[in-house]
Amino acid sequence: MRKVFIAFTIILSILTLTSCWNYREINRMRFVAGVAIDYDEIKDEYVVTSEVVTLIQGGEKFGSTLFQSRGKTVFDAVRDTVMKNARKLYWGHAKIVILSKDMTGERLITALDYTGRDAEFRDDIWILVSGEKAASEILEETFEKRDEIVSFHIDNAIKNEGSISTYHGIPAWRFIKDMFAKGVSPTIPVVVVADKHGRKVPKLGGQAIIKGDEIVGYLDEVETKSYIWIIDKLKGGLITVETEVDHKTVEVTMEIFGNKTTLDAKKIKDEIVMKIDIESDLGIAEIAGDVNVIEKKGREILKKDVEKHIKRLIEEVIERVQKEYECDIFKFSTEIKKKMPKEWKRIEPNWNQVFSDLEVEVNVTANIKGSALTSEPIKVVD
Amino acid sequence: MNKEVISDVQGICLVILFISGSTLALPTAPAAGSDLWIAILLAIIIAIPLYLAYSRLLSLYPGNDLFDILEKIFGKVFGKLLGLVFTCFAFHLGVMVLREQGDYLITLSLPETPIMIPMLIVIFLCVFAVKEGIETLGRWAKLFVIFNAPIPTITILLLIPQMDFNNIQPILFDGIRPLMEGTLQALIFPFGDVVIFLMVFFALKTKKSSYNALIKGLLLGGIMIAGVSLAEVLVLGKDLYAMNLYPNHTVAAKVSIGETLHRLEVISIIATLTSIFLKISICLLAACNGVAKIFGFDDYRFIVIPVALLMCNVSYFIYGTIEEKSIWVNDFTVYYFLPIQIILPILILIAGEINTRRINRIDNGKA
Repeated sequence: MRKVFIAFTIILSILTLTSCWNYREINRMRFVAGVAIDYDEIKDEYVVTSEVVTLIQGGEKFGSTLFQSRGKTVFDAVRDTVMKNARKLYWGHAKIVILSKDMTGERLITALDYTGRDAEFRDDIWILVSGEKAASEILEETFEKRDEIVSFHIDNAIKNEGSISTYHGIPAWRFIKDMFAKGVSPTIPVVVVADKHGRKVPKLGGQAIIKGDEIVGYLDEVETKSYIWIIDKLKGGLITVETEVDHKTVEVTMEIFGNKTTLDAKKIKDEIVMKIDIESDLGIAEIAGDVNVIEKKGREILKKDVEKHIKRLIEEVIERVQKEYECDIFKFSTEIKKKMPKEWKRIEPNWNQVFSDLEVEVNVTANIKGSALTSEPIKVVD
Repeated sequence: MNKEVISDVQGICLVILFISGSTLALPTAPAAGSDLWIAILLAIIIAIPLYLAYSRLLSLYPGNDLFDILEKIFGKVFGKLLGLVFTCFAFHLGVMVLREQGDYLITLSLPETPIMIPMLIVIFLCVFAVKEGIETLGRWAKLFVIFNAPIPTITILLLIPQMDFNNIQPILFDGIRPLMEGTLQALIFPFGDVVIFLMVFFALKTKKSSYNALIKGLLLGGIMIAGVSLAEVLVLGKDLYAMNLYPNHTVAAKVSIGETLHRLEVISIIATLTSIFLKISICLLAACNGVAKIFGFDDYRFIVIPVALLMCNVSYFIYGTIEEKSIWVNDFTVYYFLPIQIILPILILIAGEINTRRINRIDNGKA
C-alpha cells in the first residue's frame, strides 16, 4: 500500500511539476533579428533600433517591424522597448549589431559590454559599422515594405563573404579578443544603403579601422581585399589584371580558388623585417580580348603580371595603413611576439611607431590552375 | 558496520568525475595565462607524490577512513579535534561546489529562478545517493564516466577548425612567476580536493586499491582537464579565457560544423552538472561520515538530511555577490586549503608511519 502511494505521488508530481520557473510561451515572445545602436548627442541618450521578426500576409511569410527606444545606457534603452512592445524581446537569435560612426570610446565599450555580458545574446553576433549618418538608417531605409528581414540579409551576406572578399565579418567575441590584445587593431565591416533596381538594400563593403576605441579610418573595397589577403582569410574573389602579350594589351579577370599567406618576422641587421609569402591558386575566368594567354608563353607572362599586380596591391595597402593610421590591423605584432619574444618586450611600448616604420617584404607566387571551360580565347575573324 | 565494497574501476571513475567536477565549468589555473596547460601538467606531476602519500596513509590502515586513522594515531581527543577540521573542510567544499552549481545554472540558463531551487533539487538527489552509500555512487560513476569523459573529447575535436596556435605562443612569455602561481592554483583546485577521498575510501577491496584508484584517476582526469583547458585557451586566447566566468560553456557554443552541428553548450552543461553532482555527493558523504565518527555513531545515514539541508542553507548565504566569491576564491583559498590538502596529510602520514612501526615492534616483542 505504501509503495503504491509513493509511486502515485511520484507520477502525480511528474505530471504536474514539469514546467520551468520562467516558462515562456513562444507566442508571448518577440524575436529580435538585429539591432542598430545610435547616440543622440543633444539628449545625451542611446537610441536603440531593434528589428523584430513578425508574420505578414496572413502568416505565410516573415517580415519585420522596427522598434525604437531610448535610454541612458544601452541596456536601459533595450528594456525601454518592452514598454512599446508589450512583450519581452528575445535576443538569442539576433544576428547583427550595427553601430553608428560616432559610437566610439566609452560608447563602444558600453555597447560591447552589454552584448558580451547578457546571457541571452550569442557572442558570435556580427559587429558592423554604419556608413550612413545614423545606424538606424540601415534598418529603416532598406526593404521599405518590410517584407524581408534586413538583419538576416546582412547575416547571409557575411556568411558568403568568401566569394566576394570585399568585406570581412567579425563576431563580437573575436572583436573583444582583438581589443584586448596589445598591438592589434581590429577592423569591422561597413554597411551602407544601396539602390538595387529601385529598391533599397543594405550593402556591405570596406572595413572600418579601430585603433584603441576610436574609428580612425576606412579601407575601401579593393584595399579590403588586400587586407583579407594579408591576414590569410581570403577564400575567393576576382582580380582584374592588365597584361601585355605580343604588344597587345588585354584585361584578364582571374578567379581566386585558394590562397595561403604566411607571415614571418626576421631580424636583418638589427632591423625587424616582416616577410609576407603569398601563394595563390588562380584560374582564368574571363579574357577581354583576342590574346592567347593560355598557351605556355602567354601564360608565363600572365603569371608574372598577376604576381606583380598582387604585390603592388598588397604593398599599397600596407603602406597606406602604416603611414596614415599607424595601427597594426594585419596582426604583425602577434608574429613578432611569437618569433622573437625578447625583441617584442623591447618594442612593445612604442609599437605603433615601430609598425609605421616596419620594413615589409612581399613575395607572391601565383599558380594559374586552369582556364575554366575553354582553352583558347574567342577569336574575332574579319 | 558496513560491508560496502567498491572495485578499483569504480574508484578510478569516482576520482575522474570528482576531479573534473566543477573544474570543467570554471577556468583552471587562470593565473598562468597562455601557459596554463603547462601549469596544469606541472600540477599533475606534483600531485603524484601527494596522492602516493594519501594512498600510503590509507594502506597503512586498510579498511579504515581518515577519521579512524586519526583516532588511532593521535588518541581520542586530539584525533577527534583533527577530524573536526577535516569534516569542516569537506562540508565547506561541498557548500562551495553546491553554490557554484547554483550560480552556473542561474547565470547560463535560468536567470529568473531563485538560486535555491536548483540547489535544493541537486542536494536532494545527493541525499538519495549518499543514503544509498558509496557503493551506489561507485556504480553511478562507472556508468556516467561513459557519458562524461567523451563529451569534452568530442568538443575538443570539433573545435579544431577554430583553434589558433598564436594564442599559446610564445611559451613562457611572461616569465616563470605566473606559471608557478597557476601551478599552485591548479594543485589546490581541483587536484588537492581529492583529500576528501581519504574520508570516504573505507570500502576499497585491497591494500593496493587506493594507489590504483587515486593515481590512475589523477592521470586520466588531469589529462582530460589539461586537454579541455588547452582547447579553450586555443580558441579564446588568454584574455577572454580569464574574463569568462565559464569558458567551457563559451567554447562549446562556438562549435560549428557546416550548417548542421552547432552550439554544443547544452551538452556541456549536462556533463558539467552530472560531475558536479558527484562532487557534492562525495563531499556530503565525507562530511556526514566525519560527523558520525566524531560523535561515535554507528551509521552516518540518519545524519545525512540535516547535514545536507545545512549545506544548502550555508551555500545560500555564504556569498552575497559574485565579487565576494571571486575575492574569496582567488585570495583566501590558498591559505585555507593548502594546509588541509597538503601539509596536514603529510604530517599525519609521518605520524602514522611512526605509530605503525611502534605497534609492530610491540607486537614483535610480545611474540
